[in-house]
Amino acid sequence: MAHQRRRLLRPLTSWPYRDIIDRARATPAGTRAFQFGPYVLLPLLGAGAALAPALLSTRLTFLLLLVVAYVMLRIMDSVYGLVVLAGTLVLLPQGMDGFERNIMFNVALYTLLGIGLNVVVGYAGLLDLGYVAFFAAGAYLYALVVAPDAGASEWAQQWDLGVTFWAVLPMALVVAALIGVALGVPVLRLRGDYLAIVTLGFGEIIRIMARNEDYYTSGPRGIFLLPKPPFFGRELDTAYELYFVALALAIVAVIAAERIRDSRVGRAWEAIREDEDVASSMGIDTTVYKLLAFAIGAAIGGLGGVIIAAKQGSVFPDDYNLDVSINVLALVIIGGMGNVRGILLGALLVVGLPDVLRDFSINLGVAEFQNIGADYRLVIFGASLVAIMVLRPEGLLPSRRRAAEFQEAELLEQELAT
Amino acid sequence: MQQWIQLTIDGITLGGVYAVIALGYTLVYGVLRMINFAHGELFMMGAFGGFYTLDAFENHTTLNDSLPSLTIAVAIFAGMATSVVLAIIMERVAYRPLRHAPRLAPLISAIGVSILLRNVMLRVTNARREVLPQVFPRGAIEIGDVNVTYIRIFLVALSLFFMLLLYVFIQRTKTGTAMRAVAEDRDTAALMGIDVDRIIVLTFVSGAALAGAAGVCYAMYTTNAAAGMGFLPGIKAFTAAVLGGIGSVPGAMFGGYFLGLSESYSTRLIGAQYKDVVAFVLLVAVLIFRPWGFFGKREDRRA
Repeated sequence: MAHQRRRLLRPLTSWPYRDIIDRARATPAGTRAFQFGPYVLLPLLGAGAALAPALLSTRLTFLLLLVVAYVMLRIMDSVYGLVVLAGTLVLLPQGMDGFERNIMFNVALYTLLGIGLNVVVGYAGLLDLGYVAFFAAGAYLYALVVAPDAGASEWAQQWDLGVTFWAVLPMALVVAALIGVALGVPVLRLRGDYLAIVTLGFGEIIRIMARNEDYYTSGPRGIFLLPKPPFFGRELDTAYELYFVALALAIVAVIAAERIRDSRVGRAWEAIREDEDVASSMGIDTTVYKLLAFAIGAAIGGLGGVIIAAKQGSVFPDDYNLDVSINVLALVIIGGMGNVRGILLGALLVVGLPDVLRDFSINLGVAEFQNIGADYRLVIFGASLVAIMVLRPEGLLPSRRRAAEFQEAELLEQELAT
Repeated sequence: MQQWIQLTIDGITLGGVYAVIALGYTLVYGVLRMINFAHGELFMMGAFGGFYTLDAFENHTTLNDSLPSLTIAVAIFAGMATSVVLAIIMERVAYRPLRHAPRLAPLISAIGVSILLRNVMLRVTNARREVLPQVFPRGAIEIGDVNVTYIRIFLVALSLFFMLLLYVFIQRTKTGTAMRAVAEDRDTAALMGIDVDRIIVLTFVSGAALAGAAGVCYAMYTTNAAAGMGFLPGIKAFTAAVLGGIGSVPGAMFGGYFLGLSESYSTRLIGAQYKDVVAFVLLVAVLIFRPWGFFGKREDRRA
């Protein structure tokens, strides 16, 4: 059996996989149900999504978005689906109130983070539980560079660079990537769960340092009065406007991530993920490619940090805790690992849903459950994580190749069982 | 000098707690190759099991005064029972269906269980910190110039007792042998007639029993219980398990004490604000030179 398993892990370019991939291509999940669907359903759903905010006054708009996104993402191979999804993401928040727009901002932000973490976990197969470190690095970079003297830390008061949000973005890319490499070097030899716990440790170390290095970071008092991004003579100061900034960056990140995945680098990552020893004996420099994965993932996380710092107008060390890393990892896996399309869906579920639940209530005639949404939202969230994993362990929208591998593994399992 | 003795005693007390929790991680990892992220929550639920038992006994002053050991024993058993029952449900509902799933699926499922349990307890306690009734006799014995409270001695003794018990169970009993066999090679063990499902449940049960007992004792030691109390000890115990070499029982014990002592000494050497960092810095340092931990098997491939 071990022998059979090993065979399964062979690089995907070898012949048995051609067959699996071709088969998966022939019947992509979901398309069968929508043989004629796209041409009828998409315009309807799109129109519904655009009109919904005007018709529905409740948080149902969010749930509607969830449904639209799910349907669109399943059939996103058509340009049609992409257009409608993009239209929905742009139009739907217009009819939302401030609270919902805040949720949408978080969803866009976590989508961006998810894309970054997916490079590390999904593409290169390196389990990183300390992704918050890069998020924090971006946020603190923004805070240290742009904070006015009144809100800045003692250290940062010594200079005034006069740069804005837009200039900090590329800086964050570079700085976070460097930190990614710096944290990546010591863990190169580690695998699997050891890597997970060490990266988790890095996340905590960065947070505790930010809390205690008062001179540099102002400690738990935080850095505040951070300016908003300027935009043609005005400032982007609402969650609604920053939502579009986050969304735009997420879209750029998606395109970049998909292109890297399909390049030589992406194939090297895949080989490392499937079997590191084989990959290295095939002449892939695993050190370089692993560090590259850490760097790219970290850079995207750094961008996210800059956005959150600009949105909040302040940074506090305890906002950058393990929960962030766990949420990002959960959304990547729930969405379907290795697949950037799943990430949006994962973000809607993991980041959006618990907040939307706040307003949800049903009357069961029991006082305790009067505000079931507000009081039990995290209980419900925990239970849904378990439920989703038990029902769809490969995630809601796994990449086709993953789905095929998974199916094959199950078939093999069954064959061996009989 | 006196200070160092005090720090050593602190470290051993804390180390014992870490070691007992770490054993649960290491057992489950050894058998399933899975990080049970909800293990810290089992520790927390055990503490609450003990708390509610003590709370129920609070008004029986005669019983508490004449036989405090009985109340304490009942509380510890209640804590163990709570954790064990939860662990059985957890394994059946959240982990067993995922045994052949991709490696990260059980991890997320475990995180889900952990979020669920923590928030249920937050709701039940209204996010309050519950203070345990004082049943454990106060007082201390003096060793030289250093006071060692009874509860500490009890904690150290109990953790040693549990570790010994577990060691004997794993090394000397038939079930323990079966457990080791499943950890070594599940398929072959099944072919030898071992009921793998039963052994996996038993592994969870023994880990949970230890976590529950540790939870009650830790709560008595700090005199309170809160929904968030499992997080840090859980993470650190896991670190201890990895330090010692995850999957190895003596490794987890050693890792626990090593971590407890280093943490305790570091409060004096570096400063208390960085004591939580010490665990992770040590971990990185050790794993760079011995990626398989102190006692782990030198296994270069981990699927």
